[in-house]
Amino acid sequence: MDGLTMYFGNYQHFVHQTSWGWMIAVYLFLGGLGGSMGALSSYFYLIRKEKHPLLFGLSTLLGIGLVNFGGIFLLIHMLKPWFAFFVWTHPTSWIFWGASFIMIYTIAGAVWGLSLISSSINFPFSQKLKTLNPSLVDKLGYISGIMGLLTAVYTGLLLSTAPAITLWSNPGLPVLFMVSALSTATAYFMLVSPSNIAHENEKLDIALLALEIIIISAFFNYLFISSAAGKYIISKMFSSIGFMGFFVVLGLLVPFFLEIYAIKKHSKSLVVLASILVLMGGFLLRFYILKFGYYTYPW
Amino acid sequence: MEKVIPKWVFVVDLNSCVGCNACMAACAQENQTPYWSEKWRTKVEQIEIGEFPEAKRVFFPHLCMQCQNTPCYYACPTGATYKTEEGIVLVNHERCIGCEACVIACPYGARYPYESDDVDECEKLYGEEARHTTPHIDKCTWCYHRLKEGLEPACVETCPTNCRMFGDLNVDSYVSRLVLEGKAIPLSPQLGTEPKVFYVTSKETPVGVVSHHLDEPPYKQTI
Ligand code: SF4
Ligand code: SF4
Repeated sequence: MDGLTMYFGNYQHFVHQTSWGWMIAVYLFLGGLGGSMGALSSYFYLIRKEKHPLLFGLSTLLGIGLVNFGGIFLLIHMLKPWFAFFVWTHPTSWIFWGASFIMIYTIAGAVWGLSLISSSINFPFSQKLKTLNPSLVDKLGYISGIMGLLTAVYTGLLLSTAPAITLWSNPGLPVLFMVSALSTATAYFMLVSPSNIAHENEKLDIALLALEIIIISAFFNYLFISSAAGKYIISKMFSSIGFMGFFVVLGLLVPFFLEIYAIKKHSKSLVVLASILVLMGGFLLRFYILKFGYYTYPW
Repeated sequence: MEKVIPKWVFVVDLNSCVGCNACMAACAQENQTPYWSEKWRTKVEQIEIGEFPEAKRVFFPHLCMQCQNTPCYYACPTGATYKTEEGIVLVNHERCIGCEACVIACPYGARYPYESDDVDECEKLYGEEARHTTPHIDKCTWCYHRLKEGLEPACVETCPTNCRMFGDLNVDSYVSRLVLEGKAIPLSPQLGTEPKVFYVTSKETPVGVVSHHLDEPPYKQTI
């Protein structure tokens, strides 16, 4: 038992969940990052009309690769991964929906991404893909983008179904995970894009990081006022050097201010540093959200 | 004649638990649970309160609450967790992939992984009688196999102090009256899970639900 509070003769034990550890954190991180890479690719290419088919095609394919690679961590964590296809049985479970989003994202995104790159790279099916109806290809791009975004949101919804875990079972978590996922994908684009897109991405990332700071602050507020469990969790968070130092300061605040500074100075190296810190912060956020998952038991 | 489906309830009287752990032993024997890995379907928590010379130890038995609104059932993607017509929540061992979504979702700590090492040990100990032949998530079934034969759960039958009691709300009995008259109360009712285990509280072992002890001075301490 990790903690016990007693008040008015009532007991509450706060017991650390041990089911989901760093492997699930990797799954959640790569699910968010990879999904958002597809979502932003579709957004930039189809809505913002940024004509860089190779960049957005490859980014979607890489995004799909990351999501599926992350899925391997969930699989190896299971007791019987070879029966994992059973997850498409019971639609009240978020895993059912997550697996469906990932599958549709993988199929639609792969066709869309490959057809985008087929004009620049030759591979076995490239000629066939070039003959596809452009409006169908665009539709697949939209589907890929939406499914990528839903994959990122799903990673938060998955955790929110634990009624006794105060930090998880609240409507803020899926929003936090979505914003953080979009921010990590934006950081990726800052690293790999040509300068005009990278510049746009810096502005987007500053806005996303600002939003993330607001949501994290709202979480602190919620934990502080909500319940004994919330107070217990926040005391753990504030006393954790890893959480406060590496996530809040290095993974969130420093890149936020670095990006504002870099935008004024047009410094590419600062942007690269900020992007790496954002990616690190994205992983640490999920790692610590799992770490501070405390059940409140009524005994 | 219309078939009457039993409304089974479980009552724990905290006044009479002496912490003998006979229930845990009976359950482990009956259900082949992996006691060798310190995993139990039912547990008696020993909670120490206060400091010398006021220190005391209280006992708190708990098990699967067979929630009417069932978080573990909703979280399970494979359908391995299912409910019988009487509302007993069971796990299909073959179907379970061990994703642990249900473990996370259960607010009462009632689930644990029956891992492949545990399966090996079970098969070694029980041979052909072994009932855990594949890794899965395990939980208390209220001894459903015994209920179907008209018997009580093994822990209830074993409990020497009658701290654990079992009944059917359709039948007038001491147990059903404790529940229907509100003398026994569920744990964490605010979660909306509608548990079917009810506790008779004691001054010695207060429950973490609506307090029956407001006459005691308010105090708070964190360990
Ligand atoms: S106590 Fe836990 S395992 Fe039992 S029915 Fe409720 S949620 Fe499911
Ligand atoms: S571990 Fe088994 S019973 Fe639990 S949610 Fe996964 S498949 Fe269902």
